[in-house]
Amino acid sequence: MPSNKKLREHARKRLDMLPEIARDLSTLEVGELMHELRVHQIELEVQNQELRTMQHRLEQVADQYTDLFDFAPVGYLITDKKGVILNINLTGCSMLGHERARIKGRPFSTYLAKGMEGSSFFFNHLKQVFETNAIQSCELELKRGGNNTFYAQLDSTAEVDIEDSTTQCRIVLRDLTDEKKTVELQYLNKALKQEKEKAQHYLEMSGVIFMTLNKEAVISMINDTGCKILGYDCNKANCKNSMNTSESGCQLEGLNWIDHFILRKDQNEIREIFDGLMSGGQNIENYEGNVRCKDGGQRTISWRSITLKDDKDQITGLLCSGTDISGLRQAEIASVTALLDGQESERQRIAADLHDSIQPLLATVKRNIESFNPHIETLSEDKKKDFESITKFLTMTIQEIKAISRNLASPSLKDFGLVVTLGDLCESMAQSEKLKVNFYNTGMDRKMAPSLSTELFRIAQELLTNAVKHANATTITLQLIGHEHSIILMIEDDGKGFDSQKKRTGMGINNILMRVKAIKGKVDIDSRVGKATTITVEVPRV
Amino acid sequence: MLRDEEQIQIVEEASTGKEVERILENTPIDVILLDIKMPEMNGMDTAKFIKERYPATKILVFSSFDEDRYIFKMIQIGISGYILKTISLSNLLTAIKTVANGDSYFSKEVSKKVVRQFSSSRTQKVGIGDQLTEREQEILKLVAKGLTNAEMGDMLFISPRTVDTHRRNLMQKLDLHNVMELTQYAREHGFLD
Repeated sequence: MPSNKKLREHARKRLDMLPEIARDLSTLEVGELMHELRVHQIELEVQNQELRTMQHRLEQVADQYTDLFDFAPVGYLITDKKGVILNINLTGCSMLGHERARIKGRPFSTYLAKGMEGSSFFFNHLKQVFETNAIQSCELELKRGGNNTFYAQLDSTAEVDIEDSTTQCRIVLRDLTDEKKTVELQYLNKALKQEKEKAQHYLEMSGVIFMTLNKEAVISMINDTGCKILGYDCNKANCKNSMNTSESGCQLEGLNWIDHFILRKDQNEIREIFDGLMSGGQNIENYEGNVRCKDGGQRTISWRSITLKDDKDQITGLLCSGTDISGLRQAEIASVTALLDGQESERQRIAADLHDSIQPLLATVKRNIESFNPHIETLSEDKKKDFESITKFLTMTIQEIKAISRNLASPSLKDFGLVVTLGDLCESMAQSEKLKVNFYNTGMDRKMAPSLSTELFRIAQELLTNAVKHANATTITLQLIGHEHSIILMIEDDGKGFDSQKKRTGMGINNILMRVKAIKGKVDIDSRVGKATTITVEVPRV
Repeated sequence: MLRDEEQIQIVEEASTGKEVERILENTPIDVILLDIKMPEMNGMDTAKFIKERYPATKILVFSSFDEDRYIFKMIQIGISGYILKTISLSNLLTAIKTVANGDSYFSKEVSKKVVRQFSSSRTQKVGIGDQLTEREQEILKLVAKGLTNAEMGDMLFISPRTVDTHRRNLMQKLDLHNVMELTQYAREHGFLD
């Protein structure tokens, strides 16, 4: 706005240029003129005021736009045809790492990182901008501050400047660092994923179950092998259910391990062990247990587990690896069963031989000797006594053979069943060993496989013999209890007991363990020195 | 030996129950000396069969089995006599003749067993209370008091696992299904003192 002084001068000059106004004017005309002039003055003042207001507004708007320009999220540069920077916004300044005053007037090429190569690239870009009228883009490496470089994208157009009609280049400068970082991250992610897949692939090939459980024993991860062994078709495609959207999602993840995959009868025991681990117990080196498969079948797995901890050293879950040893166990059981069957056949054979050959022979001998009876009277007293001894010993021999035969193979088992035969065994033991033997039985009405009967009978025999031999008991209680899914054979004696922690290597106990294992049962020996002993055998009823 | 006797004529011999069946179909037999242990069809089933189809034929069991079980079972079936293979020749002849006459004959040892069976006080199935062992009754009392397995184990000097097995057996014997029912039973039946 020119100053008032200048304005007045200007106005005077213009007035001098105007044609002369008539000098002799009447007073009235002068008055009118004065009035007109005054009105004019006021008009001008009003116009002036309006102009000032408008100027003020324009200044405000200009400020706004300057802010928008300066603080835009990208850098704005304006260069001339030669690439000299005429103007740059503040964002651009911080990109290049210098103050605006320093940047303005410098050629843009100052800030190129690659020297000559970058230069020619940039000038080519400029040329294209001015030749075509479209937006041109290029990527350049620029210098930030002194040492750092960064990649930037330039989007440039040519514009004609309003004030001086020169063509300028308007450049939008974008920092590609973040974008580049993202690309790098994506690449790293992909590489990581590939490594992860490789690792998983190796895991799968190893044929070992890998599984992690959380503190509530819920499966958080299980590998393909695990799924397969449990009988679930883990083709990942059909393993996804509607709830699970993760890529490695498996239908088993989210299920409680103990509730779903441990046999009902073992659940309490497993829960105890798991809780023990979660509260800081020792990691498990080797634990064998059965798991329940989808088809209702079972498999025997040998487990190793270690607890998982977070960075505060709190236990968060369990990592388990398991190998399927069902085949192994089955082979073991098969060989033991074969051994026991072989033993059993031998016994039957010997018993049969005793019964069919020896006993009748002895019976005949006895009869023959007795046929001498009438002639005894003629002998002396001594000879009579001798003769009586012979018959007595013969009778004893026959009894012994009978007892041995009965011990070897009890035909009563097949004819009268396990309960009756066991009852008889208890009675005969009570008589022969001069003890009290109580026999209880419940729930044994269901039919039982003859092999199971035989095995249980033999086990009971061993248990009784063991109690009599080692425990020095006076009262023995034998129970045979049939439960829904298992049979429990329990023997209690009031003998002197033994420390059950020590491994008993006696033939008796080993025999019992072997037989029980062969019929897939469990043995629990509960004994303390000086106190009564309780041995519990539980076998599945199948 | 038997062949020498005049009054007795050995008609046939058989080694299995099936053969006996066949023979009986064709020939009337007065007395059959029946062994128990025979292949295919054992003595007991054969005896049953004879009693049903040929009641006129007398059965004299001639066995080496002297176990009570077998004796009583055969008597139940309705045999006329039971002698052991250790019997003397003269007694054997007496036995055959006695049975042929329609009377019964038992070896001395067999008779003794039968008598002993009736005179001894055998544990028959009495009330449910008798079916619990001493230990189980102890456990029931402690269950009524509300002790845990560990506590019961400590008191009775047995492991908690053994206690648990006793509880399971108790529930099976008494046809109960959970701890609550067991405790209730214990209290109701005066196990709480």
